Amino acid sequence: MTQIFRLKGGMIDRSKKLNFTFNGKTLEGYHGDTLASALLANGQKLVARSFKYHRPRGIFTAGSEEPNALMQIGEGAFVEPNTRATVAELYNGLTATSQNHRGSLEHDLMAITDLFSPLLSAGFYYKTFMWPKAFWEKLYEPIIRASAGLGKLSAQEDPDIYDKGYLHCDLLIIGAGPTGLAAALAAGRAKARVILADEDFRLGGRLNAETMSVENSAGSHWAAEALAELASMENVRLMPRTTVYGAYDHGTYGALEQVEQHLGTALSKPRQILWRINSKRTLLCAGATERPIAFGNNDRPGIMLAGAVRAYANRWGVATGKAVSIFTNNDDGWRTANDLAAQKIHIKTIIDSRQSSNMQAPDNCEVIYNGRIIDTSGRHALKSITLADGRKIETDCLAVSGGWSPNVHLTCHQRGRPQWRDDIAAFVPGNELPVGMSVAGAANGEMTLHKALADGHASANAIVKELGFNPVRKSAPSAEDEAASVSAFWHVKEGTKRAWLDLQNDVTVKDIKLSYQEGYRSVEHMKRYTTLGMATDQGKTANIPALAVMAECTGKTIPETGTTIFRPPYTPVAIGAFGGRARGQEYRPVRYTPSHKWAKEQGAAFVETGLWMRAQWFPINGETHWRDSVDREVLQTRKSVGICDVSTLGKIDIQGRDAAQFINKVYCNGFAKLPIGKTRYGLMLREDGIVMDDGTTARLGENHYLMTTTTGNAASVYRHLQFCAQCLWPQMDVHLVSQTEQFAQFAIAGPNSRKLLLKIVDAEYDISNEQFPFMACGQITICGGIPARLFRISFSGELAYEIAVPTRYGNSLVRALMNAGEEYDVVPYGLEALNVMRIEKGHATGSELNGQTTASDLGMGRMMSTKKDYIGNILARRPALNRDDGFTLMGFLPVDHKASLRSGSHFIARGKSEIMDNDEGWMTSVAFSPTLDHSIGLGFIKSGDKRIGEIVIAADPLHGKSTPVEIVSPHFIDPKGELLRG
Amino acid sequence: MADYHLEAETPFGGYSKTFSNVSLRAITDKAVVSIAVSNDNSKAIGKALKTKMPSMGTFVSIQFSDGKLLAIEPQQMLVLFDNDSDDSIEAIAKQLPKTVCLNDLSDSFVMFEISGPNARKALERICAIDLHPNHFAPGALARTKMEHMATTIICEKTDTYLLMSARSSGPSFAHAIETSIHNTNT
Repeated sequence: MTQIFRLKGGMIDRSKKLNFTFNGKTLEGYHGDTLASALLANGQKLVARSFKYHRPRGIFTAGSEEPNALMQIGEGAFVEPNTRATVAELYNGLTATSQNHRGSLEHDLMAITDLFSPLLSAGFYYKTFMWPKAFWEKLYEPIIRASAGLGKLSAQEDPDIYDKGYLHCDLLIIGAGPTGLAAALAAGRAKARVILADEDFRLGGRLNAETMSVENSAGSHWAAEALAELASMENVRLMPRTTVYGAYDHGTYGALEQVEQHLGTALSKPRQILWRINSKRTLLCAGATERPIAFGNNDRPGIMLAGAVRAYANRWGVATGKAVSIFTNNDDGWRTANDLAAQKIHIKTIIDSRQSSNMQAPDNCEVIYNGRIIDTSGRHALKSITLADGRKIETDCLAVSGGWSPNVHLTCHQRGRPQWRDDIAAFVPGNELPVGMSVAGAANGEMTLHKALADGHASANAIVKELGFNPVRKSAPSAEDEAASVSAFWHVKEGTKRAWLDLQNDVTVKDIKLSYQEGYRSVEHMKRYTTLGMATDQGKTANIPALAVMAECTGKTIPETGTTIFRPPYTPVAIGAFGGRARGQEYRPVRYTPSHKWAKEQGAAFVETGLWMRAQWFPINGETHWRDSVDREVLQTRKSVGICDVSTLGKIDIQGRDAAQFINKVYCNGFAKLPIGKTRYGLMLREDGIVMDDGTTARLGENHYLMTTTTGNAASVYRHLQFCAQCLWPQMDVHLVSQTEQFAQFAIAGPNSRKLLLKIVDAEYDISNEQFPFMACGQITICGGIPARLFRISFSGELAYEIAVPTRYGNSLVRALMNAGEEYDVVPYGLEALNVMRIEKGHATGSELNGQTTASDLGMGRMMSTKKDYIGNILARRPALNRDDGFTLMGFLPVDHKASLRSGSHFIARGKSEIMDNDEGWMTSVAFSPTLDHSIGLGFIKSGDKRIGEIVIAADPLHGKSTPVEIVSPHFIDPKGELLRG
Repeated sequence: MADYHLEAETPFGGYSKTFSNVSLRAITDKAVVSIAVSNDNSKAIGKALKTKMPSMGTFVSIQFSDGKLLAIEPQQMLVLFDNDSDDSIEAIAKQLPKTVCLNDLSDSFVMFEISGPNARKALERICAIDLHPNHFAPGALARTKMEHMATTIICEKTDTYLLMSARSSGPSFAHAIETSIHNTNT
């Protein structure tokens, strides 16, 4: 079988033969074919099985509205299910497989469901699987899931590459048919920046599928000339293979461009690009979609839309049958007959549902007015049709035309509702269009070529003029105005066979009637009850005829009955395209600390904390468990000295005459009198009185402060301060700059930390306890003149410092510190050891400052100043936040010291059942303390400070564990702070 | 005198790649200092730097050390100038009125210059703002984001852009630009 249905002509390149396979069979097509046109050229009529009843189905349309011809394309991990053969550009080596059948396509075992169709009407599963309840999850659902679904995923990682991008223009024209081309020419000539996007790989729309003339030459020829002119314009961007799938706020449109897919090779370049197009104005020139007429057994392979039959003949040089019949309710159907006849295809009969027509039929073609088809025959391909009068006509292709519906989809994406027009028996865009959008051509109800061209031209000129460009004085391209009379005829009432409305979801006229009968009056309910209009085609061919049937049921007009509106995407978009590059390690940016390179050399284990990659611990030879490393790091730091990269802490430089006053209003504790050269711990509240963040702020100069924040809140605190400075107190002279990136900062902790520092701090700086006491800060130099900042602060509870240098020296400084500390057996410590030591000391972090806790809860209620105003001052004093039996941050020790604790455990009084009614608090942080040689925990418990020594149960029902714990002070080590002041 | 010596390290020092129609080069010899600008000191700063103060979203060249003055916020400007040592603040402070608040941000950024006929095409993939010369001509600057990373972009001349992003995420930033170039390279 080699293209036995190929005709002469068409816009295919016959010098470029392409081989492809369908269900393992090798076939041949040409460059310029779609998969559908190539299959038809090879006489392949049966291409799919329907979703519910597994009925044989063939190619129905020639565009993205295709409900039937869904294929799996590609192999292995590259396979993509549910690809519409009608828009899949043919390439050499394309592998297509039909879907939704068990056994071969021709002998689908699941076709048995069609025999049970009387039992499987719309909504059957809502009723059938109600009883017994227990069967749903274990029996019904697995069976339904196994038999449902269109296509199969490879279950492997998608090896294709996707990208995203941003485009901008004055005018986005959606659709490059006659209207879009006329509009683009007008706007392009006026020098506006234009994007012309179309889902087809050949721009020109219906001009490529019709034989009508524009400017006295063939429409397709005119389209090619127009495109050549547009391509020569620097201000015009032509985007074939690009579907504008969604209209979003502020003139933003989503568009999916097929970049390399049609080349069919495993690629190093993206297969698709998801564009965000920002346009000042948009002109929707999306054309119209032909709709079918429902009649008995109207779903057989070989029954197609008339416009598609014409397109296959004219554009692709493919005959869809040898003896073709037409069933139409409008003049357009007749054009199919004439175009096919011109290609020497035998037109057997034209059946027009109307009483008459002015159209001329081809020679030797029978015309039947007021005709009705009630049945068809042919198991895998159409053989005959039966008329209402009982007459049977042998035919192998039936071209059906029920009129055309404007493609209003994108006009509805922001809840715009279309309006009905009786003269064309279709919905047109309503008045509530997305801001900046206009509609022209067939999409706007201008259903003839001349009108479409004129509308596109005029609309574009009006838009560019509004944008300040000067339209070129040139008239719209001229064309004939073809006959386009249509009657509202939706389905054949005669006959008893099932008449299909939605071919993709196997919804019949009877299903719609049943839906109405069962009380579903709203169109939206009908849609969900029957599944009409769902899945990949979103009912593009089915919605209007189904609505008409529903209108008949209700006795109302179609506009009175209503319509469904559309949501993005217009056509399916692969999830991979939405993901773009953001996969695996590229899911989000990674931030590295200044000592990352050095830590990696040490074999550190890393952990992601937000975007940061931080050293978690530094294993050494012989250590087999992370706890070995962490315990060693803690013990050695407390015994001698340890170093930790704390560059990730937020650092905000605050300068200005009002800097002190500003900080004093931001923190709940006093900062107005902080001396120069001193650092103070500060607690920041939200407006609602809950703790926002904590950190230290150092006064570096008269009007110069440096605030540190927790790593996780670096951005949000900076944003908060900017809000305060710009909106709350704009009169203040305050300047904020984030210096998080500017400085590499290291904590040096342990009894030997000062000794270590003395080896690198330049001699002129005295860092003795007397001259540089606890909470001192200063700008110093190290290593022979390198500028640095030194802070005498401690998170570990040890004698400790934090030293900051410009980031460029970070990598070098950590090496210098390690060298300098060699004689003290210095250790680097990671995030885990840092966490253990802060729990031992009773310091709060994100687990405790979780957006629900107050200063009082943290045991810092007395820090809240009563002498000044500050953010959170009023609401922090709400009675509910200051109850006597409120939560208090406490320490917890397992009664059995060998037991381990779990964060998230809830505290229950002994003897009470472990239910939420008895909940008294929760464990926020736990660690094994190598210093104390047992587990310790921090947590909030009601009236905790009055219950020291009491035993409660730390209940962890998730893990089935209940651990008796003793309430103790949260300061497990050095409660008086003697070490850090030493 | 301490016995230890610290080496300065530039992010992507020496990085320079040429693809067909696009070149990408790391800039490592520029200092970045932020200047707090107010109605009170704006004229004085302009006078000191011998330039008209740029309007928001633009920059002007200044005579000092082949510098540029970038208007990035209503009350903040960045000055970029040739200097790869630690004394950026001191160097620029000499040029400015004493009361101006300065902040050295030289170590806060990675900087890449992307140039060539395809530069704009490559940036289309990651840059949300309109870089068409009618909208973003030489002298323009914008703060935006690229692949979720805050970025300042300035158009130095036709088809030549300077990109500044956070130093800590520099590798991700470089990767994003390189991928864009690769994906658009023909």
